[in-house]
Amino acid sequence: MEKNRLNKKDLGNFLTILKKHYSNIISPGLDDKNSPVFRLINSAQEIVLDKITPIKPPKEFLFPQSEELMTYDKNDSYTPTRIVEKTKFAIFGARPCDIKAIEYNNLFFGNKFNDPYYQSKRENLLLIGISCEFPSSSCFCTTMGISPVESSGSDLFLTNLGTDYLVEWVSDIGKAIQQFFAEILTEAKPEDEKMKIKIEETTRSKLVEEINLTEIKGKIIQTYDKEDLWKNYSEVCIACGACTFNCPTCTCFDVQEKMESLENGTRYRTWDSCQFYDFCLHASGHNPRGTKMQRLRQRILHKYQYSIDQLNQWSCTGCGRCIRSCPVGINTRSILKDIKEELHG
Amino acid sequence: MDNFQDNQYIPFPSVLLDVREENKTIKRFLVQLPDHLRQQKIIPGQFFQLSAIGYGEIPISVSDFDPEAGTIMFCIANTGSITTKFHQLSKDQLIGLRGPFGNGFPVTSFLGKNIVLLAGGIGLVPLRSVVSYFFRNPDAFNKIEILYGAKSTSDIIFRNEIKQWRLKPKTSFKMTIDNPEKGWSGNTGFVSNFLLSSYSEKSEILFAEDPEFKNTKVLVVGPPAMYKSVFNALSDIHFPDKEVLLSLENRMKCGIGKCGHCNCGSKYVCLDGPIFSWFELKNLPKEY
Amino acid sequence: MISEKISQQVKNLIQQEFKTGDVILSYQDSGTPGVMTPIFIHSKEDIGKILINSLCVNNLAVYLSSFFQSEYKDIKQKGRIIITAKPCDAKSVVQMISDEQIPNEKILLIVFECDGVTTSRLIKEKVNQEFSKIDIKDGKYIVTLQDKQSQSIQAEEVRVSKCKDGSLCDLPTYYDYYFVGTEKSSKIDQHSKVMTETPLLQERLSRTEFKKIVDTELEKCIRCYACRNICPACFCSEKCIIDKPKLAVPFLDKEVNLANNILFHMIRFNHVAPNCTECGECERVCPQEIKLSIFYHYFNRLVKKEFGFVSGKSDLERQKLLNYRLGEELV
Repeated sequence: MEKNRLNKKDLGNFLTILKKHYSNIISPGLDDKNSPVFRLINSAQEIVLDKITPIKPPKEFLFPQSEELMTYDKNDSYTPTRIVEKTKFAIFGARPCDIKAIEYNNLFFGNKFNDPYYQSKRENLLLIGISCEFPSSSCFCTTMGISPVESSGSDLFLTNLGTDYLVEWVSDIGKAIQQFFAEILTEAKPEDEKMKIKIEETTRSKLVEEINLTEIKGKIIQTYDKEDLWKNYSEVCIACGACTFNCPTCTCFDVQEKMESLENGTRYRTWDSCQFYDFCLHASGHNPRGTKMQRLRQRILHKYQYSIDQLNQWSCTGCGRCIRSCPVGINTRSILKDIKEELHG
Repeated sequence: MDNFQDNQYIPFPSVLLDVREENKTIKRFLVQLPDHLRQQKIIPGQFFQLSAIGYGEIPISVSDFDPEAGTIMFCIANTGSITTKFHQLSKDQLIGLRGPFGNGFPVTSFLGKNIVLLAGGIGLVPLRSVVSYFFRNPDAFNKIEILYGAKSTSDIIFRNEIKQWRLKPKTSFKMTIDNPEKGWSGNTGFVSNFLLSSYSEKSEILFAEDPEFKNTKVLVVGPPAMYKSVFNALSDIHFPDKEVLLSLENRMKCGIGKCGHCNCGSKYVCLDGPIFSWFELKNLPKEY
Repeated sequence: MISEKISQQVKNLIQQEFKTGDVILSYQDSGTPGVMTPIFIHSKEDIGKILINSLCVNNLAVYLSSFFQSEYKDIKQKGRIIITAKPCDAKSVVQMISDEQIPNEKILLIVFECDGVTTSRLIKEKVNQEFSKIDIKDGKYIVTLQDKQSQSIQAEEVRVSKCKDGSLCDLPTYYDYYFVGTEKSSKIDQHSKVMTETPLLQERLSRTEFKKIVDTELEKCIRCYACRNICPACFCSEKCIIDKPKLAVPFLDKEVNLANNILFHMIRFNHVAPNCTECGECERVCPQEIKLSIFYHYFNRLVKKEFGFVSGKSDLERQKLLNYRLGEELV
């Protein structure tokens, strides 16, 4: 893989060059309460990389919460909303948990039938990753087999070496734009790889816990009928959907029509949650997942079993946002530990 | 991007060629097939997402498909807010069409097979597409036996078609209504009765012609309550579960496996279904 | 600090009171540092899991109504519900009894004295770092940071904002047991009215200023409905009008924008105002950190002013907006 060093003082220049090719740059910044948030930035000073990852994942830039799909005219039927997302944009400073989540979403939205709304944004995205040095107390990426310094899935990947960043040009797109930055790049050194390993070890030591899931991968469906295991958590759950809204791989949506006048209107999609009561509700009144136990079980099994059955990959990346968002303190790691105990005694 | 093939979310406008009542809750809608679908094979058991423009979309199984005439027929029951809007439409009005989606019955693998169709009430709607397929391709199967159970005489649908089916070669037809009625001299009782060895009107194919089930498939579609008694009856006669096919229903929005509403375990009813075998169903969680 | 002594006394009482068929609503450690999670206990062996301390910020009253609503078919509660509550939570329970949402003979309300709670988010802001463990000792929080160093914080430095206002933690007149004995932190000033004297509530704001606050705050809403689901006063549960856009409210569609957000919250403010006990859970759970409590305080005080009704005080007093007596003057 092509590698270079970039002096941290040149970050501003880096962004200036980047902006010529990718007009919008999204990065973790601070909101008015000093909490990290992914948003459009205009200068290197706004970038904040030394805090835990923002609680809202960058999925809204590829899959917005409310998105117009088409307009309609009663006399003429439906016209698709022009997907004029020709604006190229870059996400700067996504950690491996978020990069892997975007990788999963690419797989999902492109599986069998292609989703053009997602794809048009994804095609215009440059994903610049960064090694994670500041995990939260809820993070568990290593449990899901993801290293806090792995670059796969990104276009280019930065690692903090102290005064410099190590820049790895990972994908074909990344390699193609390397030339634009030639003036500010210097040679990578052989010892830089060791720094990555050091960061990985340090970050790993900060994680509250790591659970070995290799033995139970693919077998989690066997806990389907163990209702007491699920009820321990679903009794406490308030079915609010906060975990699904903040999860970077949750992509369920509702499609609705909205009248603007008697003759025309729009059809839009908006985030929906499998934790809501009416998610599966049939018109007849029958509800296949009418109890909280069924819905909580569905979420866990989807993340840890069904996604493997369908796409051969965990859809959870261990970013810990579900644990951070839960108003009643449900801990997904506890659920995984309970499942492991149930299957292995 | 505005091309319909690229964007599966955009419905295509189609003209309603005919709208008429089947029974007090069901109407049939004959729709002009859009040009880009005229070359496409629409498999019996597949469904389309129909839009009542301005109100919403519902998944409806194909009831009949005529490739020469370029028409497709749907039956919609008036059960919810959007279906009510459909019932207010009339000839020459527009609806939106998206599809065909789903896997459909594997009719090409039915060569030389006896097909027993077990339809409960509105379940006859998708099964009718199998019957029409057979009449257009008489060499596709060996023979068919249509076993239909309606709730009452006023619920019977496809009355004219039934008259014709009784006369077609390699086709037999039996029906029943749930409870005895004045003026009805036919069978009474549930449609699963046709699967009981003790029943006088039991299935010819299952009990006389192919009692060892070497060459027979059973296609079952009906309301959820019917499946239980049908499966019990099929268990009693030891009919192989891989040869029973049924159609599942679930809440749907996108029809292409993205919105997540219709999942049942690791399967999406809109992508991996709606047709599943009884064997597959046994391995799915009971969330449908 | 809520003392270990209280925690033990509550557990001992529960051991004595518990009968098969009862369910206990209390708190346990969640596995996430600094976060306590509710627990439902169905058998005597699990009573040992209960842990009550100053991190127990959840209001458990929200779980009560579902035991008595017919659409919750999987909950069959034969015995009593034993619930452990802070005084602010106890007010929610008493208000639900007053609203006849739950029968008081089925509830055993155990209240413990509290001098303020905190959340892991507040501790994180104070130490400005992630931590891997929190211990409670001598009225202080001992925080073990990620680099294994430890830092100690006084309880009063990180109290939740509602706890700074003494008027919100008065004990209701109805409860079954009350345990006293907080230790080693400064008492809340009973005369402090820091929450209730905000400009909004003094009605000194002009229409434009009020609208500006509404717009700024509600713009952030992502309609996750966590505030509605955690609210004990919102007991319509699965029959909520917001979930049935086509049936009842055709002008409230699911799209997330300012107009719809304002409509959703205004509906909730008005529905909940008479029985809101200002427990503050809505603001705590909001993933967007919207300052919901200022609105609920506002509407609540309006109701109090107009109808002279104080929610959560007594199980016998019926709220004026739901009751009418013959001959009563029309409002």
